[in-house]
Amino acid sequence: MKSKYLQEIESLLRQYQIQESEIKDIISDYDQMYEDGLAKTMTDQEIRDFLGDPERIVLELCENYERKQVRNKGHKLIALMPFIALIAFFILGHYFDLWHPGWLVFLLVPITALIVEMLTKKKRDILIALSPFLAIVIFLVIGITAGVWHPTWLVFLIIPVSAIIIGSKDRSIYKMVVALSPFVALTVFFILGELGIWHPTWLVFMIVPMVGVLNKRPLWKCLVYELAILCSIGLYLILGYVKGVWGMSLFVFLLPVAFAILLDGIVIKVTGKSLEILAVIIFAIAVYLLGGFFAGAWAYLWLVFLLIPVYSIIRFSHRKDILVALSPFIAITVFFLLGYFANLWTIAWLAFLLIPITAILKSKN
Amino acid sequence: MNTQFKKGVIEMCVIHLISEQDMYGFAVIEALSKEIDVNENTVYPILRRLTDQGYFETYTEATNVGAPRKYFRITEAGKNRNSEYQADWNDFLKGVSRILGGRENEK
Repeated sequence: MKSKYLQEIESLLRQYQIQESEIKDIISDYDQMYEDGLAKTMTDQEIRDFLGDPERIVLELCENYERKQVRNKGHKLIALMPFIALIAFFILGHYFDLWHPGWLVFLLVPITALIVEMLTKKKRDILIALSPFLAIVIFLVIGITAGVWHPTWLVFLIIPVSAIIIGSKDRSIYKMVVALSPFVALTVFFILGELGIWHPTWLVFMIVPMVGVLNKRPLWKCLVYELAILCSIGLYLILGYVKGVWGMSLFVFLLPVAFAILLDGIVIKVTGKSLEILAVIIFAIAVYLLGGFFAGAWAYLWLVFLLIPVYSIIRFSHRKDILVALSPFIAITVFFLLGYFANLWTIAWLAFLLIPITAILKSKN
Repeated sequence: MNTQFKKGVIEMCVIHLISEQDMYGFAVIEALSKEIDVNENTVYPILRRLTDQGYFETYTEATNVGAPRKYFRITEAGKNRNSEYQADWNDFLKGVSRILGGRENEK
């Protein structure tokens, strides 16, 4: 664990123009501090928490250093991409009469810039950063060619899902499944809903608490919770179908809540940062569901999910990096709003030029 | 609390701690985190920056186990900075107390 931690710091430091001797000095200092932690019988995780997150440490340490230039080949590709896209656009339009949706090739401009920029960072970040573009391309291609805008918008769920799967720091499969369960439920809900069975398909959301309590210990508590949830679902269906009292039968869902109060007193332990993020997630889901159900705004309200990374960037990123980090999200929002509401897809892609423009303006070179 | 403000306060505390006795990195973080909610990511970078600015000098000392430890020792410039910080901080606190209604206590 120590070597992994030190390696992480070292590889991040190497992204900056720092002298070799200084890198060695920093690593040696962290090596000593790590050893001090071990001598105090701290666990690896405790030491990591105590010394700090490598990414944040390096950000703090390298405040006054320039990032190394990305490989020249990458820069050349970024510079050439607008021309390549333009040529491809004219070939597609002129010879194949595909002016629309041939303009999609212009998305290659920001995508190339993102890939090249991200190549200096962790590989997993490339996929997370690309997921909005991938979702937009799939959404537009299916929407334009087949006219199936709804429920194709479900593809936007790959944005939070990829962030959870790829971005998860501890690779605990259980935690990942818990985090993914709301999105699985949402997808199943809409696919079955589209087939006309919205009710009682919504009960699929009960997998969220059911998965959530799976690692509850002791085992008997886990079984009690699972049984309570299953019983409430069963009772709800029986009362609904037999007695026809769907509204009143919703009260049976108080059963697992009552068990939770009795067995655990419902203690929610969250720290400041995670509480804030949790509040934003709940807010985004609430806005999405309310807007979706009451205004039918499923196709564009997914943008509210961008609030989660945006809030995190504003709240926890280094001030000087905020604008550059936010530019992809601003560009996506402008692009989608212009395209969806004003049907300006053919020029809306220009919004993506905001990403390299912001990066250039913020660059000291 | 505002991050920049907190960083400034931590910097002041780091200078003060090391002005009292020579310390190694881990001990500085430990001493700070006992009393205030520090952002662990920032303590070592602050130590390093203050050393670069000439407020601390470093030396190594052998330990019973493992590699020798790097200690931070305050310099003359560091002592002056510490006094400036103390004076600024006291003035700041007095001002805040007056604003928050402690004028009577000041008299």
